[in-house]
Amino acid sequence: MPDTPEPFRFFTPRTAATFSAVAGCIVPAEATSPGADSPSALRIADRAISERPERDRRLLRAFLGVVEFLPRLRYGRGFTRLTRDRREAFLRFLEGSPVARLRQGFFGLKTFALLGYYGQDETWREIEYPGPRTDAPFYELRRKEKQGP
Amino acid sequence: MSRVVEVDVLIIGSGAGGGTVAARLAPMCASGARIAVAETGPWWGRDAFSMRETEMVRLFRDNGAVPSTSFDIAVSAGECIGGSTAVYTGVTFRAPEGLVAGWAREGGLPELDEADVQARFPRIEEEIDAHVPGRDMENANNRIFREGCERLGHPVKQFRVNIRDCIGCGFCNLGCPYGAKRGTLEVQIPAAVAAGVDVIPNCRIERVMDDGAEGVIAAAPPGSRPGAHEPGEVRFRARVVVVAAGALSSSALLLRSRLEGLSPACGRYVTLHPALTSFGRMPGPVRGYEGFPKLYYTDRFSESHGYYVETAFYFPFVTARSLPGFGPDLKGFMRAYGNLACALTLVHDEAEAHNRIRLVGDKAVLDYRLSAASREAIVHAQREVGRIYFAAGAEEYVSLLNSPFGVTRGEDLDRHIALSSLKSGKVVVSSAHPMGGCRMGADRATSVTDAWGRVHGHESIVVADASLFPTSSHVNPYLTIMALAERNAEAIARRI
Repeated sequence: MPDTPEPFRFFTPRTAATFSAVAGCIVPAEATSPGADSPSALRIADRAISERPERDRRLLRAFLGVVEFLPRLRYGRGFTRLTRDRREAFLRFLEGSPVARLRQGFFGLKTFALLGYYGQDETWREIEYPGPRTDAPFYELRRKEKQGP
Repeated sequence: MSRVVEVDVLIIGSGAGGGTVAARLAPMCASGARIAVAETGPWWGRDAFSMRETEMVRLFRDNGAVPSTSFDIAVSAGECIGGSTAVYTGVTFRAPEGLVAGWAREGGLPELDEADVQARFPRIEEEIDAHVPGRDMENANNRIFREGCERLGHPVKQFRVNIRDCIGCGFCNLGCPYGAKRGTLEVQIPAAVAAGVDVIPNCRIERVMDDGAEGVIAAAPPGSRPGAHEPGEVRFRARVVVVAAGALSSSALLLRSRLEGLSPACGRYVTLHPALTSFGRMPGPVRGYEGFPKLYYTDRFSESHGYYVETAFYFPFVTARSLPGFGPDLKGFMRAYGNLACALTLVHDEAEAHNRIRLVGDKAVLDYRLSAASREAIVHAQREVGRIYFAAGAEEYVSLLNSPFGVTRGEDLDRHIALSSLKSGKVVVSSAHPMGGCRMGADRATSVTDAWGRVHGHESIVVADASLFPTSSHVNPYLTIMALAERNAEAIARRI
């Protein structure tokens, strides 16, 4: 039997869908690599948000509602039902919005999307980051290199 | 009902300030003095430092980001035994000459003697192994910065750093798993414990009073070292209470305690050393994650524009968070992570009354707005760091102020990096050096403590951390904190 995924700590199904749609624009999937909307990245983001102070969680929850709702005024449909191009255009609007709270909210979502994606071991190969290393301390290696074989 | 713990001295906080006070008073345990250190955070040992960003956020208050109400800036501060010295890089600056004399002059504090403070630095440096490392410590990231500065004629200076037997794993900011970084976690706290000081992790102090403090001890998280006390409410009875909870927390604790006659300046005049990271994409490997990350700085623009530039390096998430925009540009740039050279701008911000810690209910919030001067300094710095990296051979340069994403060699830095990009929320500047809030001075209307850190009107409550600073130190503050904490500890020792 497949493992049942651990339930989200912060996301509801609705907020998870909105966050996933945002995260997929922040770090988009490509043919050779996943995006920040991958299940593992979402888990990391969910856990990190759940550990923020209550005030921050409340703000993020409310902002995800705003992200889902606001596009209805312009495009007649919610964020998760937009095309990729329109999602990106809407996020660029939030990022540079004259309303500071919208910019701040976008920065918060971007931060957690990036944490989810770049905080996982699977991504490190893509960026050639070796991760924690206990076997190759830098100066010891250099000394050995200088000494030669 | 709270249990009661009787001590002579209760020290709140275990970072540069609290750890130093504990070590200095510790010898008194031999003659029967009872000294306790209460730290909000857990007591993590070297084996708990996993070198993973997503896990090591637990070493920081609020997982590493305490945003100002304006979202201009987010502050990181250690919240564990060792405080911020557990997560700093070990960059060791003496207070610039004249700084303490200025504090004494402006604050009407003749007993705050610059010569006395300066004389403490060499001895503390010896105790914590602070020294100028040899050139053989230089990794590619530091070499690139040095060469870029040299080609432009900028002075390149070396830091003192407090490390011993560093093997260059590069994970200083996630806790040193080898104990090579000689912060209070490795030096002062072990010395204090060996002498008989009672170190109490997971102990959040809610209120201080003239004869003690009240708080709550939480259960130790798995993998951390528990203290000797069971979880639950606790009331300390103490002859002296030392408040060294860090500049984000010390003034908030005094405000929450509703001390009679507390200065209206409490919580005010906070400075943060606003910082911004930027990156040069080099044609070959840099691998800044290998070797000690910080060796050099330039003060070329300190006098003229109010900032230093230091070498730095960060792990993948923090690096990505320091990039502008989103989408394929960001992801593509991150693919060159191994080729990125990285530097940090530190701005000398001014102490202004409206930048402050205040309470909303019992919760502390930080009001801070970047001044016009700080904003201009940040923009100037992002352009100049770009020039340094292009001089060193970078192919592309990126800072959070870039619009569009990056500047390639030959493009106009001034056009791509503009003040108009520095919008609250779009660009969140970072800080790791909060200072002020309990500033020293003679006048109760404009200062919180006297020259020995004693809260005006409450002689048994002594502040001993960066919140004492009346203005920014302009340099990484921990050594100055230790010197002031040592002075204040000596005054406490004379009293008890």
